[in-house]
Amino acid sequence: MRVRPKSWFERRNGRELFAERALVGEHYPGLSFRIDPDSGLMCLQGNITLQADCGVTTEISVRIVFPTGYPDLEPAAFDAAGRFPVSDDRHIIAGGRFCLWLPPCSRWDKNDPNKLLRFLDEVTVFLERQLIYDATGGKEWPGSQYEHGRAGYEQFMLSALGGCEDHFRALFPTIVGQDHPGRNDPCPCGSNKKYKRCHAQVVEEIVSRIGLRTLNYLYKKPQVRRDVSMVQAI
Amino acid sequence: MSWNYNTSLSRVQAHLDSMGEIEVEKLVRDADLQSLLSETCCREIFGAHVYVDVPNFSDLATMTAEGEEYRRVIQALHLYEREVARIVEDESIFAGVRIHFQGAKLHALFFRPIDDATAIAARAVLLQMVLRHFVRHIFNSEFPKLPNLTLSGGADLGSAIGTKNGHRGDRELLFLGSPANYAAKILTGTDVIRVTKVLYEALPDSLQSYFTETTDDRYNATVYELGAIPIEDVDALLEEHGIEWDRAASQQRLKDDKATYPLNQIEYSDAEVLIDIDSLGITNNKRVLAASAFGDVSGFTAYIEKAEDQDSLKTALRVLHAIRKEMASVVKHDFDGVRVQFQGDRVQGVFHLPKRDDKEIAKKAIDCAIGLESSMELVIKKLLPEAADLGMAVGISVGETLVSKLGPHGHRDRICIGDSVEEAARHQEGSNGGEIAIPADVHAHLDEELQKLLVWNSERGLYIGTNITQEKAERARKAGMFKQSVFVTSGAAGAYVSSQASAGSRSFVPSSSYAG
Repeated sequence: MRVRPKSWFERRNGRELFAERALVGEHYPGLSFRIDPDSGLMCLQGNITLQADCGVTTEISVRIVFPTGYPDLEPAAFDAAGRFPVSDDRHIIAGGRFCLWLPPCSRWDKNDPNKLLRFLDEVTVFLERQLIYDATGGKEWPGSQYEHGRAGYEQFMLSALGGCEDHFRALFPTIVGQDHPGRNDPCPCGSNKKYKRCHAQVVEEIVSRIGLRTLNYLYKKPQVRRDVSMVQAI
Repeated sequence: MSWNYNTSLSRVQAHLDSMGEIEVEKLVRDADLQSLLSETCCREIFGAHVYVDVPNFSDLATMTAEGEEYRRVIQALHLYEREVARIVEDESIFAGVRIHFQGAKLHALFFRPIDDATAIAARAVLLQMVLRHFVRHIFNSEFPKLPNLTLSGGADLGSAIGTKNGHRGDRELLFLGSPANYAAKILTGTDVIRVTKVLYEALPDSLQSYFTETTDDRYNATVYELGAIPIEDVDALLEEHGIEWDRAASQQRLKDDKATYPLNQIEYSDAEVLIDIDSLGITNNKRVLAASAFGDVSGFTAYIEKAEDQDSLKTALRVLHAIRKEMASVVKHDFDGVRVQFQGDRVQGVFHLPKRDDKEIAKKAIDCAIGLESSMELVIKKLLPEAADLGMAVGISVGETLVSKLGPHGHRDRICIGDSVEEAARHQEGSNGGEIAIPADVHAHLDEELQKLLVWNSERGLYIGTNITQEKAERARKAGMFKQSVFVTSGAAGAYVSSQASAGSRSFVPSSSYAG
């Protein structure tokens, strides 16, 4: 008979869960762990209560879902009660999932003992930004943001290339896998250096952080790319 | 000084807990309303509500230069209010009720003989006739150095609920219901006397003939305007209705008062510290740069008129008193303002500190307006779900303001007068529940984040903020903080995000959000 592999919260006699539960209990007592009966995934559910200086408190119902690969993979946060509309402008996608960050810019560090607390703090700040977005009439997202879809990834690429638009234009085909310069070829950036001594490392880093799967998904079909000058630098 | 949810909540709860059982009955026999009415002893009173204004006084209080001319304005206002109070209240003259003066605007009530609509309506109109004659032919001649004053009047007839606010030594009659509102609404601010159709129809033929029908375009309502009346006719009508007003006696009283309150005894000054309005008087007035704010419970008149039985009426009055007292606390305790008056379901506040600092004064008045909205939306509606359909409408303006306590000895009225006072009242009257209306000069003084919450309305020529509570204003002010490090504290009381570090806070630069 095949034995079911232990979930992350069952391993090491549940010590990981025990530690996380203590941390959550101290800092976010409105949340509690429970196993989702449908998916079998561990969830953290309940309210995050946001305080304003004037004493008004706002309770927001959230659900944090832990993937089976936790803690190697980061959890996902959701608007459990549908309090906020699904909208790219407020960085909430289908199912009420909060887009806390562009995936290659994830703050998740599996080796950090306070990783879950940091994640919940990011969720808290994200919710505060939602309330501010509402308070200001939904005109402008408070703080920095990446553009939606491919444009957001291109902002990330530009940023990783030091904000140099010429380099971005020259290296973009290489990053998205349309060009494959040899390591000893001249760098596409036009520096006259060998690629391996110029941008090879940063391109590999960008590709690795975005992931081939995502790049293929985004750029599988050739599409007209927006002029880089239109891309707002973050 | 700021608005705080928990403070507001406990204030309102404490008031509700201490409020006695409210009693509302129809007034069926003559009574001294000042003694009879209280916060809990309320009466449904059939009567005529009369508003009579001398709009010039606002201009004079604003525009008149310092010195003797300004003292003359104060003297004139004081003497006007004293004599008008006598004409209204004296048993041998009109035997009416002077509810109060709102600046130079008189609010009076006639309810005697009980339920006699014709006699009551006649008194309301005759008072306006007499006061117009008094101002034009007696008062103006006594003050030749002032521009000729004019009189604007309005009156309506019907039932309104009479009650009183509950402060010791600071008790004011309050009337709730459409006659008390409509009489003021039909005032034109010009040399015109108007009455509503209801009052006109109750008048005897001998008085109706002096009126012409017209339409008040502001409310699309039929009103009746009083035309010119020869003095002989006024005398005949007064005699017919048993009203003994002696012009010569009125003139002599005015002269006597002028001798009693000579210009050299009238003092005024700016205010370095918060004005104690009850310590003011004819010899101690204040001329200040101030923000006037009017906060009105929008929808209350309709709410009280919808009350079909005694229990609903009692509930409505309980709601009113809870709101009214909280409005006063917000003005006075949360924002260091002066609560001038309750006027039915609205409160008038004045902010004059720091002295002559128009920017800080404007900011304080707006913060107070947001506090009033917050109390209404977050506290009153939480504790009193029956107030769900009510809203708070606020109007604000800043300008030169005369603050004093004038009128007859023993029953002086808190006076706050100036063009900005009138403007603030108009801004409020044109606003719906949940709206704060301010002019551009006030808007210019606000911080950028708050400015963005108010939208320019070109039709009204005002900036309008809708549903701005303290929590929203605070959050709007935080909008720019996410580009630097933020600090998060969390625990049993909840989570708090700030740009400032505090004990146990965790800091990080927020991620750039993304939606794929």
